[in-house]
Amino acid sequence: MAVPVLELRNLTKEIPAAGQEPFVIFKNISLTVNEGEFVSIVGPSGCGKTTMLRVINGLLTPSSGQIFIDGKEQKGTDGDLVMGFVFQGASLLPWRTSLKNVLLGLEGKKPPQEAGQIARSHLNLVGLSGFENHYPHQLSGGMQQRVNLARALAVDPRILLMDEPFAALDAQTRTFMQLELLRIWSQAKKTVIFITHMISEAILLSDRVVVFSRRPGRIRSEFAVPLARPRDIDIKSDHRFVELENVVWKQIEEEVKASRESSLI
Amino acid sequence: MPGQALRRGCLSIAGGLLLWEILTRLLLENELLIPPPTSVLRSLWKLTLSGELNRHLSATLFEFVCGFSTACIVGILLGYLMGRYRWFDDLMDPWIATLYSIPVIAFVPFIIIWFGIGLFSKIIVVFKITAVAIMLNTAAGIKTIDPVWLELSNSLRLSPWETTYKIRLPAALPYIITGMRLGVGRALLGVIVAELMAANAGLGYLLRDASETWDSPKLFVAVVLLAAMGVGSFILIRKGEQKLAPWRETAEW
Repeated sequence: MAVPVLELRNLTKEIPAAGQEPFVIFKNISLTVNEGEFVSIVGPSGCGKTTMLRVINGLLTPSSGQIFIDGKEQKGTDGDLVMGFVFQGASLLPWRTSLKNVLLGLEGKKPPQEAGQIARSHLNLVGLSGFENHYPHQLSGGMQQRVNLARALAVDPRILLMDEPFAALDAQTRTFMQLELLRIWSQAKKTVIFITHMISEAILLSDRVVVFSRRPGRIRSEFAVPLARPRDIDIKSDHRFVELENVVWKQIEEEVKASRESSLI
Repeated sequence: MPGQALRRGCLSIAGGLLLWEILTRLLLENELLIPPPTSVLRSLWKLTLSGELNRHLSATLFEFVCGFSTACIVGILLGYLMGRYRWFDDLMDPWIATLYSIPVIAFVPFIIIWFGIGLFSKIIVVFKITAVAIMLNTAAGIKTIDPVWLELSNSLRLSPWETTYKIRLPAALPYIITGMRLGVGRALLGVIVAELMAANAGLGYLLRDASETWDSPKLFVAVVLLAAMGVGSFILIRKGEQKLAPWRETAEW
């Protein structure tokens, strides 16, 4: 049975503007993500998907609406650490080694020895054993994102929030990291929300793809990905993959066109 | 090749000294104008034996170390508060701008009037110069922190205290060290000026004593020791930086 982990109810974020209509970033988002599910959110740039992820994590406050994790309402950054966040860019602390970066969320919460073991096993999971004592500047972009992922996973979150984690990588590394994420996800068995602007990436990784409209962002449509797991790179030439990619692309194209027209008025 | 660079540097200094010795012996009859290196060495040896050197050197070092370390503590603390809280920055800013723009030499007479001619007034001079440099740099480092690191701290639910000492302070460390580096050179100047004006011990005192008695070799001893102190503290800070901030591969000097 599908057990909901994350539930968003009518989540809205707007920025008040003096003497004007508030600037609405996204509006009335209601979404349920089930245990172990991998959900991707795609949409035209500037549609508020990254902002929404920050609101879910408590980094920004919603203007209205509620966020539930395992039925418990989340408010700001109080409360337990139940979410892991993987940032887009270089969010590793340059003064900490890979191991110490992964330890950041564990220090003071677990006994040092146990924390060390957890951190090591997660570096191992993301394929970085042997790089424990490297500083971020000694690692490639792909490796840095692996450490980011290990850090978010190490705190054993109920849900993993990933904000375009591969956007800064070159095309080859990106494809490779997508396949790595498939492997890591199948081992870690986490519930994931994955933000991306790359449709093929969303389809390759996800159980469900959610398409956002142009700003103010709303959920335009949802697609279950009809492809069996485990998946590999060949699946990209499967006709169902190609068809879904086309359908999603048409929708996003419409949104981009509509937003251009409205900005011309 | 650092080994080769070092060898060439040493060779250059040795050659210079040799030239200096030969020229002064051949051309100058009066040692008062420029004493040959051997006279300077003899004078250094005499001062060491009499214990005078030890007294002056340790006085200056003591003033320097005390002033510098208190300046680090106070400078980092106030700089942190300035970086974090706008209102505190606004309160401090006019004072620091004024204090910073007045040449330290103008302060020295007052400091001597208030705190006497002993060690304490020199400690105050070192403190004043260094603390301001460290404060301003720490504040700059705290202000320019990458916002992603603060988001990271929030997303990992670190406490405000953890955010301070695990994120903000290490992020500002390169700036803090730059402040120290700027402070060292100026503080050395300040302490010598203060000792020249009024003191009963210290390298500045030795300098004045030598110049009043027309003892050129002794004068040179003081200058050489000052140079050694400057270079020594410079190297210490650089080593400290490499140890504390190994992620900064290239240090701009």
